[in-house]
Formats: sequence, structure tokens, C-alpha cells
Amino acid sequence: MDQLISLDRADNRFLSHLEGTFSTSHRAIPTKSLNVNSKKEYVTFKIVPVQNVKRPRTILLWWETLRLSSICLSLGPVLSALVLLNVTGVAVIEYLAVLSFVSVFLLHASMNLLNDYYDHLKGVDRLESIHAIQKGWMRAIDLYNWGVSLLLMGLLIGLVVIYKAPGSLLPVIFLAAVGVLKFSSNRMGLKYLGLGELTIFLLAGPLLVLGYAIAVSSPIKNEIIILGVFSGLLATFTIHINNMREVMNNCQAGIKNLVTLFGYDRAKPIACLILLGIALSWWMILFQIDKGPTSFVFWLLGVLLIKWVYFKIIWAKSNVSSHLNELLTNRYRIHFSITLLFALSVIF
Amino acid sequence: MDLTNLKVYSEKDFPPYLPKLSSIYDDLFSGGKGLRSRLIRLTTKYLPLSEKQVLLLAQTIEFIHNASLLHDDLIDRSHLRRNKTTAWLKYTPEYAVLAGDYLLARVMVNLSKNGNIRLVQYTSEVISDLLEGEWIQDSLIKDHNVELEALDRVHNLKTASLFKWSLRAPFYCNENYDINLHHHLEEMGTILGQIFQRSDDLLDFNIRNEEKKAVLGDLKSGYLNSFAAFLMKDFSEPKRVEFMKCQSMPEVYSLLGEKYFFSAVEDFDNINTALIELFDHHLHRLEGFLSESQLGLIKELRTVSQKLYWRRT
Repeated sequence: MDQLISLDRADNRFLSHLEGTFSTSHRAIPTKSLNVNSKKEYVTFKIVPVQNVKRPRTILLWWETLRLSSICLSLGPVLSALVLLNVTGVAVIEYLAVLSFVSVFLLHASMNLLNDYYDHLKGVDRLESIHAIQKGWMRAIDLYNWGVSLLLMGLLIGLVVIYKAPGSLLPVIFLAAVGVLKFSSNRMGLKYLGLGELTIFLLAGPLLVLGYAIAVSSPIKNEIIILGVFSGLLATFTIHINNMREVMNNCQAGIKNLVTLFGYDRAKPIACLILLGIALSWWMILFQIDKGPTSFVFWLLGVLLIKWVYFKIIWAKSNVSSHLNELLTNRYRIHFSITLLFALSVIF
Repeated sequence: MDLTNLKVYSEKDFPPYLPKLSSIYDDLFSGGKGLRSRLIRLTTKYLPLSEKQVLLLAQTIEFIHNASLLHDDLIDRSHLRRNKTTAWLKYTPEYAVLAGDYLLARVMVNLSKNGNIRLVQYTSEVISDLLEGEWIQDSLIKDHNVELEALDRVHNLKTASLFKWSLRAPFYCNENYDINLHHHLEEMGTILGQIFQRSDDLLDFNIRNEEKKAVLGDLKSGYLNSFAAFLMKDFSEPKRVEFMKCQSMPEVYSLLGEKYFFSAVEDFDNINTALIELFDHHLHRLEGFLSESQLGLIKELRTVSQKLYWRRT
């Protein structure tokens, strides 16, 4: 039997247990609570000896810790933009393309780590999702340290890109920075104003794609703008199904998003509209760059995948439905598959 | 104060001019174990509450619970409740709905007479949670891929809300609104509700079924309960479909193998034992919120979780 300990926020051992710095031989794992929205003044930890923690292989450990399955949300649009620029004959400054790619990767990974660290401290998401801390693989403070290191590296490389980029990236960087800060801030957060989806759409769509395109080439063509819409809608869909699943908790926490504003039932047609937008914008890009029938075969495969997703949404009678859970579990795979099919449709 | 024979239902508490009301409630209130009102009696034993207040609390929880049974039986189209024909079948679905609604209305009338607005508000929230739980649970019929975590969320609303109320309402009645105390009781009520539901779900698979309840009722009505979801977590799609078709325990054993089945029961017991340990931990912390004369409550509550899960009398 593992030892249990409950600590009040006022207790001076509270932070050291949350961060994991209280001991070198033990991990403090917060116990799960189904009452996720009650702001408790204490946390109950299970104290587990480090040698009892089953750690996976190093690759899997880092895959889970950095939440690399979600990395396609940022790298997907970047790679798609690179492929599109290449296919349409736009000259790309290669070293800037590589540096931007690395910078985006590092910034995304650092955001995942820091997000998990702060959520862990605030008590958000303790029910699930922070696998590395919940399973005792990592201390929260390790996540923080790695997060800050990757952030600094990402920013440093980003600065080089900004300095060397052929076009001015400042407007894009400014808008992205405002978006990130407003989205993550608790008091001023866009997620409490019902603008979370719009922010995600802009950040993972037009801002990311245009920013990358400006960084590695110039000028900007129409298809790049449409790609921004396509990528933004893909990311928005990923967030939207997560919001559908979490509608109950979000309602209780006063978070405003399309699902809490319009209700679960109306969120389904909204999801379907986003899917339609993804298929249409993809088709428009292929049309814009005069692609042949082979490309549309990949587009059709993508539409088939979208159709499967569409039916899963229709069949999900409520937020605890297994159909919705299946979509949520596979949301990054769906994102990756559509991005891959998109790239193939552009190449062939 | 002798509370051993506390009678929560008396037909004199209801108007005599409503046809069939007495018969429906006579059937409904006889034969139940009164688990929740027993929990109320246990908690109130150590609080300075009057007999009238204790009766009000016990009545409230039993009225809410029984209202939910009336509605549940109709939603599930169950034919039997406590070995008797269910109200919707014996009378009409309309009477069953009205009788359930009327019980909930009486709860609000009785509680508001008491004048504790915070208790009224909390009770309304619990009724709301309970109905949300029932509503969402209905969406899970024929969903044979549902996971234990999703069911836990539903059971937290549907089953645990009444256990939370049974622990917290006596303190509200005693005008003790200490937020930390209530958070503790909330967590403890959640665990009690979870383990009670999981134990009840095991009965459906004839595990510790001393009450001789009908087996596989949930599965036959297309609903995957918590143990079934746990059992099936690693099943392939065709095996899930086969499992959902099982009509008797021998069919379940033949599909899964008895060894596998009972090893899953053991694993399920282990995760629930960990929950009971967590309950005991919270119980230990509860001591800090109680006066010396109230410490007897700790000892009594310690046995509750064991009794609820292992079905010990």
C-alpha cells in the first residue's frame, strides 16, 4: 500500500510536493478526483518510491512527456507550406526553412511542457492527460526546466530566422504573441470570452503558415493563404471535439467556447461545417495550383476519412459517448493522416 | 433520541385526494434497504440536531432516491423493482412520472419550510446532478465501447450525488458551512457512491449477490455497466459484440473463460480497495474538523465503505 498524504495550499510542503522536489527517492502523485471543478484548498498525494515507478523505454517516455503526437498541429502546417512552396516553384531559402522548422518544433514542445506544468500546479487536468507526472515518470519541476530550456532555444533560433527572413515577420509575430498570451492567461483568457477557437484557428492556421512562408520565401501566393485556412480549420476541429467531450466541465468552469455557447447538439453541425471547410479549402488549393486527377484521388481518400469522422460525430449521442472518445483518442492521428494525404495530393 | 425505527414514509404526509398515490408510494417505500437514510442517521447521531430535523433529512434523501427509481424503471422499461411489479407497469407510465415528480416537489416544500436556504440550494443542485446523470446515462444505451472513466463521470452525477448529500446535508442542517469540511465530505461521498455503484454492477454479474438480484439485467437492456466496461477494456470489436449478446452467466464464462472472468473480478476489487483506502485517508483527515464528542462518527463511517463494497451486513 502506498502512503497517502493530503497537504493544504498554505502548507510549506505543498509546492515541493507538487513540483516533486520534496524527495529524491519518492514521487508525489496527486490522486484523481471526479469533482474536477471544485476548487479544493488541499491536494491528496500518493507517495510512491521511485523504484516502484514503471518507466517505459526512453523513446516512449519522451514521446509521452513532450506529447509529440500533438506536434503535427504545428509541424503539419509548416511541412504542408514547404511542400506547397516547393511544388509551385517558389524559391525557398533552405537553411531558413530548416531553422524555422526546428524553432516551431522547439516552441511547440516547450508549450506542451510548460502547459502541463502550470495545469498540474493549478489542478487542471489532474483527472487525465498529464501522463508523465501522473505516472511518476517525471517530476513536475523537470517538465518546467525542460520547457524553459526548449523555449529559450526555440526563441533563439526564431530570432535568427526573424533577422534573416526576406519579408518582415514582425506583424505575424506580434499577432501570434498576443494570441498565445491571451489564450493562456487565466484572467484575460480568450477561452473565457468564447474566442478560443478563433485564436487556435489563427495561430495554427493563417499566422503559422503565412509566418513560415514569409520567413523562408516571398512573395505570398493565394494558395498559401488558403493553406492557412485549411490548417486553421484542421486545428480548430481538433479543439472542437475536445470541447465537445469536456462540455460539462467547461460549462461548470464558466469557459465559453462554441460548444458551451451553442450546446452539445448544435456543436455537431458546427463540427460538420468545419469538416466541410477542410474538404473545400483543400480542393480549392488543388484547383488553384492546377493539379491533375491523381491529386484528387488523394483528396477523395481524405474525404473518405472525413466522412468516417462525420459519422462518428453524428453517432455520438452525448459527451461521454465512446464514438466521441474514439475521435478524441485518434484526433492527432486524424490530423496527421489528413495532412499527409494533403501533402501527397500536392506532390503527385 | 431513538432513531432506529425512523419511518420516512407515512401516507398522512400526502394529500388523500390524489388517486393511486398511496398505493404507488406504499409499494415504493416498502422493501427498500434505506441505505441513504441509514447513512443520514449515522451522521446525525453525532450532531446536535432535533428529531424533526433528522426525519426531514432522512425523508428528503429517500424521497429523491425513490423518485429517481420511479423514473429509472420507466426509462429502462424494467418490469421488477424489489421483486414487485414496477409502478409504470402496474399503474401507468403517466402515474409513475407524476408520482416521481410529486416526490421531488414535496422535497422542496418540506425543505423550504425548514428555512435553511443553503440546504435548499444544495439539495436542488443534487437533484439537478442526479437528473443530468440519468439523462447522460440514457445516451449510453447500446454503446458497447464506453470506458470506465466515462461511466465514472455519469455515476458521480447519478449515484454519488446522493451519497455526498447524505454526508454533507446534516452539517448544513447544523449550520456548519466550513468549505474545507464540505470539500472533504464531497470527496468521501464521491468515493462511497463510486464503490456502491461498482459493487452493485458486480451483483449484475452474480458476484457477492446475496440479495439474489436478477443477473445480467444491464447487459440485456444494452447497457454496459462499470464492471462490464472494465472487463471488456482489451476486447476486440467482434468479442465485444459477442459479449453484449450474452444472456446468462454460463454464456459469459464460456465466452471469456471462468479463469479470466474471476481474475478480472480480482483486479476490479483491487482498484476499488485502493478507493476504500483513499476513503479511509479522507476519514482520518475528517477528524480535524470534528469536536471530541463527534469523533465516534469516524469509527462508524470507517465500516460504511467496507459494507457498501463488500456487501457486508
